[in-house]
Amino acid sequence: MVAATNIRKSFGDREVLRGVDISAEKGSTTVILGPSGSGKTTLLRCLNLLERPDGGILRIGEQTVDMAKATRRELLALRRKTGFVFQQYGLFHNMTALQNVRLGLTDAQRLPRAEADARARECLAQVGMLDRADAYPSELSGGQKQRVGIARAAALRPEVILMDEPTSALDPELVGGVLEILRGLAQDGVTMIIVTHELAFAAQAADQVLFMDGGAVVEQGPPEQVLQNPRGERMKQFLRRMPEMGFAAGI
Amino acid sequence: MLQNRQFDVSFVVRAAGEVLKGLPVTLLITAVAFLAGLVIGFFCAQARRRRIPVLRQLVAVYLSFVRGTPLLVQLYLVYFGLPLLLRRTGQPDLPGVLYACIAFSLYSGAYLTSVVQSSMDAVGIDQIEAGVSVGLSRMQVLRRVVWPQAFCTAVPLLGNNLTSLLKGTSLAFAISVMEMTSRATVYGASGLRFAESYLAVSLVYLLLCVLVEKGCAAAGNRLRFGRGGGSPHGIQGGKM
Ligand SMILES: Nc1ncnc2c1ncn2[C@@H]1O[C@H](COP(=O)(O)OP(=O)(O)OP(=O)(O)O)[C@@H](O)[C@H]1O
Ligand SMILES: [Mg+2]
Repeated sequence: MVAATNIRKSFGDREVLRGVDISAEKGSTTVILGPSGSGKTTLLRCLNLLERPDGGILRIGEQTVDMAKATRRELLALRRKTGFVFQQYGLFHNMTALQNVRLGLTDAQRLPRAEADARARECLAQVGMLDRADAYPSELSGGQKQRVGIARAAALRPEVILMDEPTSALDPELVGGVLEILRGLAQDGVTMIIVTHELAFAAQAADQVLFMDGGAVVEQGPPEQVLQNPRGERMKQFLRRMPEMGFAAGI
Repeated sequence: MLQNRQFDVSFVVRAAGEVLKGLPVTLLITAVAFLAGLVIGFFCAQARRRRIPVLRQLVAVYLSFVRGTPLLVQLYLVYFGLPLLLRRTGQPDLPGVLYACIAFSLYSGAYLTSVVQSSMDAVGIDQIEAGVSVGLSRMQVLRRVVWPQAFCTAVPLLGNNLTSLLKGTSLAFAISVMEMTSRATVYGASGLRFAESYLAVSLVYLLLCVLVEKGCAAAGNRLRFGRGGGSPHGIQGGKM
């Protein structure tokens, strides 16, 4: 499970996260919504410590670390309990799909080569990319790259996979396939925290939905509540502006 | 009269044979300067990329000195200046080829600094963050992600620098190192056939440069990661 308390982050004198609390049960799927600039990406980057929070307490699995006084070693140990899926895929250009998925297993987790190889292939098969295992990123479509990106994160068997708008760089016809894979992972009990604007996906697959605004979580609950019956005015406004809001006709 | 009026093809062939005796020296200076230059370039690039205080300023002075003065002058400076320093510490004089190696190493180090730096800078931050996100340490990210990609970008630039360096070593004749150009000069003088002997030496340089270029092209093709390739193309190399 993941539990972050009072996460704060500023860039210069711009306060981007103003004490965010977020917790996710083991095996649950959390969707984070929010307008542009509300701090969603920054929150995810703080959760895997690509960005170091200025303060707050972060617990992932069995490890709890106070951000204000964490050592490098603690940060690395904590980060190794997470996987990350990037909006722009972030695949290593110099490696094939298989090597991309395997690298963290062999080099960070120090699994034996054969075991790492088997797990990497298994994860590629899970996202339907086993037949392109030897292709380089430059030879893959956006949707295929993102599948490999998801396999790479999943192969680490992390406590939580963090995803930052995993489908927003994709052509519309490729989005469905990637969301399908995420639903599969959710059913397999992988803990995920996903920033996305795909409300239909949130409604269907999320266990909880968080709405961020101005660097804070302003609404939080099960999807039916947050999406159909939001309390705050900001959330209502946000939903009204979403293009595909036919389904949330409650407002 | 410094040059016979009749062009003598057979002299070209004989001159080529003589010039080739200087080939090991030319290759030695080139290889030493290139490898030492890579090491220098690597450390200078790190100092600049990591903004290490003091070191970074020293590197800046070094780079602007090498870029802002003629190679021939640098060669003389090392050749006449270094013995002064060494004599003070009681060391004997060194062979000319060593001065040449030192001068050309300092020279190529400055230019290779920008090759190393620009190649490493060309690796996107997204690649580094992706490496960190799968749990790699900083060193592992460098080894597995940054350096392989940077090397791929660097190959054509390194090739350019290597050929420029190879040609540049001809200036070593100015400090009486018997490399290929010196041999051509001496041999040309012996028969008053400078055109023939310089033609011979130019053909040897040309052949070597073509070999380097072909080698780099082949290496570049092998190193391309898939269809599009992982390295930005069309970057022009720094001239040596
Ligand atoms: N490295 C940085 N340096 C300075 N400011 C930053 C940095 N990263 C983010 N910010 C600022 O922090 C705020 C939140 O950014 P963030 O990327 O987290 O928003 P977001 O909710 O992900 O937005 P979007 O939906 O557009 O992706 C923005 O105002 C942004 O300008
Ligand atoms: Mg964002």
